[in-house]
Amino acid sequence: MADDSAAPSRSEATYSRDGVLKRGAAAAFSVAMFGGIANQALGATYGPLKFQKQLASKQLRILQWVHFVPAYDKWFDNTYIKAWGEKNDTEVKVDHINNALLFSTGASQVAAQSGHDLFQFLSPPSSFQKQLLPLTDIVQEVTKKLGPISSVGEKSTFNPKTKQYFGFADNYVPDPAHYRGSLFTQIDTPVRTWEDIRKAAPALKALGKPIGLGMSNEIDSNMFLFALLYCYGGLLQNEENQPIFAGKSRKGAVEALKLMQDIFKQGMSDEVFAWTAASNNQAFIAGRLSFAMNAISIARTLERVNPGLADDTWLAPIPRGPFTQMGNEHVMGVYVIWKFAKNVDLAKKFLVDQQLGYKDHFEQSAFYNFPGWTGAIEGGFPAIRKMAAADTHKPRGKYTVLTTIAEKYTANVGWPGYSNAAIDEIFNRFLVPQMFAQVVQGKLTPDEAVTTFGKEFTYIHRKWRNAGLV
Amino acid sequence: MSWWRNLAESRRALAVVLIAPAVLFILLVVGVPLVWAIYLSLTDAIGGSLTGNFVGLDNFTHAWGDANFRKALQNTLVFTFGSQAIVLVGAALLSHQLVKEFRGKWILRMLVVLPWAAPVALGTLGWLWIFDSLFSVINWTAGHPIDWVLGFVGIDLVDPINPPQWLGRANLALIAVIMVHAWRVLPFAVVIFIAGLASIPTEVDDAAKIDGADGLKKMWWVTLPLQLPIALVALLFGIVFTAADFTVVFLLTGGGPFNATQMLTTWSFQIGINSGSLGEGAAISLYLFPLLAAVSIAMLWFARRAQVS
Repeated sequence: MADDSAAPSRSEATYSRDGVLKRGAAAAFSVAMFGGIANQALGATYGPLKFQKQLASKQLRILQWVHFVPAYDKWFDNTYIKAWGEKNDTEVKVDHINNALLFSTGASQVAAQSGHDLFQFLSPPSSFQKQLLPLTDIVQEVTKKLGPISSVGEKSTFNPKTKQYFGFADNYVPDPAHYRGSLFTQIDTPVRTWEDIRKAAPALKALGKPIGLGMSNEIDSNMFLFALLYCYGGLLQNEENQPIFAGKSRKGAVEALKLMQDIFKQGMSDEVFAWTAASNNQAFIAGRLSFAMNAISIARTLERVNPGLADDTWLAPIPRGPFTQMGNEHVMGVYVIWKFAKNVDLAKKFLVDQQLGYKDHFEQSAFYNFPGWTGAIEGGFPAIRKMAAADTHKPRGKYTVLTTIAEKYTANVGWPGYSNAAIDEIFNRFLVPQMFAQVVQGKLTPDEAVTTFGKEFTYIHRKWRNAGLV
Repeated sequence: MSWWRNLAESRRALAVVLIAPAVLFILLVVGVPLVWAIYLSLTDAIGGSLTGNFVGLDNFTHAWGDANFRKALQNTLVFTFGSQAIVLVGAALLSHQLVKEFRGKWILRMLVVLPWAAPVALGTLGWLWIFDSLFSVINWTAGHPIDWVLGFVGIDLVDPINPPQWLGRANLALIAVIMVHAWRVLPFAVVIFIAGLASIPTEVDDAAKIDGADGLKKMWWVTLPLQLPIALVALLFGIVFTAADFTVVFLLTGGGPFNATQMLTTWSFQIGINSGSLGEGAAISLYLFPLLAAVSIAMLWFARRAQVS
């Protein structure tokens, strides 16, 4: 039987409207006045909030993407930043957002003149330069310790006009071709040139396994189609950052557009126009595709969820075109520090320390993130190749190929020029995928497309030149 | 303290004091951004700065000269009026059914209101899955149970190698965003229509019956005319909600394929934020202003008329 003596009397158990209001007001007042001493109040019960035996005296706020290798974020958030924070008496807070929202979030932080101490973009944010602190000092500091910055890192973060590094090229991600080995063996076609892919397209589609090359407003389509233009000589700009698309590059650009027209007609389906950044992964993993251009997230996910298909998934460099064989980085991790950031010195120290110990990041990302400074892994590419060769997943040696891709076939967006503000705008407006999609869907001929988009590219270059950033 | 008492007792002063917070709030939340947008639209402000040099109406003329802008303007009109047509017809039909007494009426009402009550991003992401390029629920349903049945008479609705891409083809994508938006706004119109129907005095119904009006006749000659003012209010609200909507298109298509579903809102975001041309982005968004201002004035006028009658 319950002990009635503990039950409240009727007057205690019920409250009048006035009573509730009075108690509510008192509670609100208490929280407003004394909420700030919650730590001390908690301390009485739980002891002071400790950080390396004392309260951390500094705070660093970082914003970056949700990594395609989830285990990396887990390690970064739970192990790496905690260890770094303890060593530097700092509480590090990391916010992760979808990669498609990075640019607009950056723009809103600029508008508010407030935000994170460190902000990581996945493509060089050249158009934000006027709001960014030059990071030339820490680039030089790291270069002194590790040797030269990679070419892709240099051209993604250095502005030859201002002679400053506007960002810190923390990492880049090679963009290999993924293909189903057994299917290409069955149709007896190699994966060496774009002509091979054109030839293979109808046979693969007939097998019910179309080719998957995106032509949508998303990062994978953007990176791959920029690279396809390089392979055919359809360059958007020359080494001096002059727009040449509708001029010197016209012939190559038209050929690249015709190639995609053919591959699409004979070997693809409409799905590529509706893709998001994850769609080619999903379609390949579902066993639908025979060929896709993507970072190794496809291969790594398959190893986890479908080892049989993973064993049949080979990696190769981007196929060769008549002009060259050159791909883009799939992701270019560029950290920036806003001029309005509160903890500049701490943010710089974080970047330097991270790069000096990048071997852990390379391993924890399952070889996804290559360091911006190759020397961050002692021994450079030979050492990286050795690490990759030790990966036991089948087909053996596929990650050795990845190292070759990183070393020889990975360029910055806007190659052979720099990733300047004009290229940044063209990239972020997805103009290149839109051009390809319009041609492939028959809305424009390749010639018309080059003329129309060439004019737009020239206009964009002029705009940013006038703004003093190109 | 007598001045304070005088102030409190003066109806005029008290009215000003009471309405001031609302006016201040609107000025801060609507007025300041609007004035700022007008300022930016007349400058060459770029991403990474909040000021620029005065360029007159250049941003407006450059935007007008762009085929993508004109397409976005056209799409905005098609999107707005297309979805509102569906909403009006749907709301008229549903509301007439939902005022009747039947078993499960409240559950049905709740289900009808659900798309409006659910967060727009959540609902739209659900549709994104329904229209997915690989896992589309529509394609799966048409390709499995329906095709299995139709297969007996030799009809094949969905080609497994090249299934319909609801968000990958220009026309299908535009239809998709119109349908999703109509789905979302429909409950709001239904609720207003139900309120309108409930406000019709029963005497009018009785008089119509005595005069021999029934069924469609009663609906056409009695119910619809009485419902018209409130229906117009629902329509005008719907136009404002739709023309200024950003979420549905942004989440479903991002304006693609190749800008085929760009609206003025998404195109303004694309140019102002993603391209870093703040000035031009502001100019594009301001093209919406006359349309929305006219609709808002009409809305207030009809609301007042409905109230007076």
